[in-house]
Amino acid sequence: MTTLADGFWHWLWFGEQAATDTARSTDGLFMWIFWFSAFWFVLLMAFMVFCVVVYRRRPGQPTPRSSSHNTPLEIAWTVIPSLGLVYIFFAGFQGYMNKVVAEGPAMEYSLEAYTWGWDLTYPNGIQSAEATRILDVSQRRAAIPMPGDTPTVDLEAGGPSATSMEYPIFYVPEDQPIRLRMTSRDVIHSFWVPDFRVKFDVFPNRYTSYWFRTDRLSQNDPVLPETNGQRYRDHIIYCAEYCGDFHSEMLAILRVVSRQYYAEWVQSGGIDEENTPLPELGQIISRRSGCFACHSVDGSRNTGPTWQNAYGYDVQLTTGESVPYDANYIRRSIVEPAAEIHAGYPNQMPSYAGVFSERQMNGIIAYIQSLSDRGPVDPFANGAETEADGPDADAEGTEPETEPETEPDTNNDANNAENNPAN
Amino acid sequence: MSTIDQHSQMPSHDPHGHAGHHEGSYLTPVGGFWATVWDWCTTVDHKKIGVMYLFAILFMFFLGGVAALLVRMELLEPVRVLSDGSVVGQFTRALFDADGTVADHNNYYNRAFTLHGAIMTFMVIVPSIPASLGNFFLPIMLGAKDVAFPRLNLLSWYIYVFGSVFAVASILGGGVDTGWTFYTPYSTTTDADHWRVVFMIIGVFILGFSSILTGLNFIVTVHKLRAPGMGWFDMPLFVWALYSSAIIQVLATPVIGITMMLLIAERVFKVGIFDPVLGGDPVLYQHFFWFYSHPVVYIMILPGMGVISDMIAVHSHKHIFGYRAIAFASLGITAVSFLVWGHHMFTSSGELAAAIFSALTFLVAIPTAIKVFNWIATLYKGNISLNTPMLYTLSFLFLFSIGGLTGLPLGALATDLHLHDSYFVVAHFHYVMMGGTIIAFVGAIHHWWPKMFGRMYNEAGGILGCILVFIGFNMTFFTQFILGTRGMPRRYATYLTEYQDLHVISTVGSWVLALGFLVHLLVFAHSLVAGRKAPPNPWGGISLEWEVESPPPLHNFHHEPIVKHGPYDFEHVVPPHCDPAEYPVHERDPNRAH
Repeated sequence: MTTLADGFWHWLWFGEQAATDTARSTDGLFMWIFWFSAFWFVLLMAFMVFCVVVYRRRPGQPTPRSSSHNTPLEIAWTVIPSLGLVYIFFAGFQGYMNKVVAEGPAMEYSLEAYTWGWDLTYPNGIQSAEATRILDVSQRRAAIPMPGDTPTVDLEAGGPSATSMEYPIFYVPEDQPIRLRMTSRDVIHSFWVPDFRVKFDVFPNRYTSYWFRTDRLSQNDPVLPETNGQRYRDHIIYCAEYCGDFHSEMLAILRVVSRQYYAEWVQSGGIDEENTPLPELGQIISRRSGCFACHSVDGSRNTGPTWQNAYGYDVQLTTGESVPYDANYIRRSIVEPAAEIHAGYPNQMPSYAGVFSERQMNGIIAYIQSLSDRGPVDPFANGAETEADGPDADAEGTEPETEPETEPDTNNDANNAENNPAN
Repeated sequence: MSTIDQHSQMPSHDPHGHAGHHEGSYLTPVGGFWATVWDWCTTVDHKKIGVMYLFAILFMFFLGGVAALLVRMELLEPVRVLSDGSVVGQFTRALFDADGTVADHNNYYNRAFTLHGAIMTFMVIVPSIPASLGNFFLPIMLGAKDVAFPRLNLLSWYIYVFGSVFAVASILGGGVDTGWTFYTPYSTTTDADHWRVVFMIIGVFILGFSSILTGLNFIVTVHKLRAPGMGWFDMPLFVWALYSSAIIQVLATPVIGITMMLLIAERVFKVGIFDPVLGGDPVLYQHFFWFYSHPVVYIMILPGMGVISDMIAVHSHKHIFGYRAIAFASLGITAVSFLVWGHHMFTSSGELAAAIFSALTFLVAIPTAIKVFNWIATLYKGNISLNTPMLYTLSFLFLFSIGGLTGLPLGALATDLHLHDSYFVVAHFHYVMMGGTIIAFVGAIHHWWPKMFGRMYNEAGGILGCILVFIGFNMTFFTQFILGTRGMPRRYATYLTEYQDLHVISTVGSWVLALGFLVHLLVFAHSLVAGRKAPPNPWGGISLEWEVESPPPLHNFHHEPIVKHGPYDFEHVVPPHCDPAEYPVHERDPNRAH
């Protein structure tokens, strides 16, 4: 009976089971405090209601005589609840130390927060290339979008929302102590995985750390497509310290996979920034940074201007001026988006100043170039070029290896990346 | 001190039927309309200043409430709401984006919650009970003619208005999106080319002086102007609570003033204090800020506890249980309140600091629990009138107990790491600050309304409003506890769809809450226009304010009162076997007419 009641209340408070040992012990403490509080609250309120009913005023009746103080009673109701408080303090302190001090040697990841996103660098130096929408929210899982899936929220109806944007996926192995060394590029953020019941603040110019050890995957966890039965479990990462405009969209997904799968994935799954061809790097970076929430690559209209056939053309600005859509325009629009606003579009993009490395910036430029029929040409791209076609060669054909010719919608796009992490 | 009645020889008519001397009430106009306006603007009468504070605070409460409704409106759906084409969307756009420069629309929400937080904390809850009801009743309860420094009192009101104007100006300039906590380095870098954040900070700086001056005035008044015969333990517990919170006001408020100046120095003059880019430390700001802002929650709640002590005794018509325990608990809270600021930083401070602050936090829970036990024990063998003030008192006990108990998982380190900066904190804070202070404030306005304005309010209307507020409040905020434990971070404009059901209940609750306050507004307006004339003592209270007419005469007392019984000595004042609501009927000493 107690278990049943506890089960219900635990479900009411937390919705689902905690994902680590330390988180389960936190839930245990929370439920202990809950029952402790419920006991005193019900006792007090029951007595209050009793008094109000029994001693309510009846006109003409005198007040019954009663004592105005009682020292032993005062001492009793000071000391007895205080004992409970002492227990709560020590249990809280113990659980806290378990959350602060990693058990045994841990893998160390480096996590960098910025407005508004997270960059995770794996122990071998790679960064994750994948991003996806969060669809199956009731399970707190980033279900892998299948063709035909639509975001639960209509982009057109309300603009971007937490559910409609793409978020990076960070891979960690199951049942392994992992420590994040966290720092921020700008303001204070806070790294929170509700399923782990821990958050720690992330500061500029200082490291803080966050450790966890997840449970082993079980038969109830879903299977990654095209992986021969590999299971995974997703946890939502939130920013919990208010950091400005897109604070509520500063999410990421922590994906727990088997140790075996992780070992394979980490060899091939990240971005090898130096060796990835620039346009492909640009595409990966754009997806990971959420650019496709507003910019289409197929010419369709969205919150921001499309990237198809943009490069090399002129841009009409809100000021009436017309400027060339060149590499400088792209760079300026990323670093200082409000400086030059495309006519007909809202001034809505946050600045990404300091977010991208020089090579990533070059990648984005190369990617946007590759989407335009006025992009630069490279007759020698395939190594075996013999006939120079001159400047009016078909731009579409210049980078056939590195770039898909037509961009599918972002859903499918994410899907491709998921399925072929080595892409 | 002397309150010799200059008019004692004048013939008088007495509408309340008791013999003696009469002097016009403080509300009596002094002449024509403009003369009266000028009289109010230059008054040093604590009662008029209290009433002016009351209306100024209620106006700011209205502004902060509108911002709260906007916040709840945004959260009705997981996607952005405030930027859409609806009426609400257009209203927000006009408010926060008049010149079209706000870069993106989450900003509307961010501005709305900053506005709500800043107005409600600095301009409503901090001054609420002390500056309005405290100003009005503290001198009367002590048997004094006025506070110790009447001119300083008027100055503090003007400072309050001046500071509020600065804060409101920052809204008219497009709003501020820092959050009411102004955490650096965000607050020193956001909207860097605009003055509105600086205006808000200056507003908070200025408002601090109003708080300091009021606190100073109360401390001196309590020490120096008690009527003959009134010992420390003959003071009403409301006075004890005001005294305790005044100490915090005087000691803690300068810290926020200095901190706000440092913010401006960093923001405007680029002096590196908090921003690491300039060589500062952002956690230092959090220490400075909470060194004021934690004690300030006791500035907010102690006066609320004070009026609860008074209301529960008067409307139970019996002696408060454990007078000294409650009085010392107030002082205990004051002392410990300065030592617990670090519990706002469990996720950003070191292990030792976290452990120490956690332990001290549980220490502050004890005097609070003692008070609750004593209030509820007061009801035992009482004679309980279920009128609006009493229903608000019972609401307070219910809501504040939940607020206090939900502080336990926030004070415990392991659970706080999960709940910090989640909706659980939002709910906890509203249960203590709104379920505590504001509920006590509204109850106390009803309790003392007949005294302040000389007219009764409609009891049925008051009870209806109280019930609506109670239901709306719980709908709005209890859901937020569950949102928090389930992982909804605070200050999110958009959220995952799994949280929507609870958010919808919360938003509908905010409308019920607003309806409840609207009912109160109508009841008050009706009372001022058409309310029945109030007797001097409608509830049967025995502290000094119930011995003067309603509304009180200009100088409070026609003669200096001599205190012969404690504020809760009902069993000595009310004859045995008599209905306590009928007593005391002003059996007056003809030589000492009130």
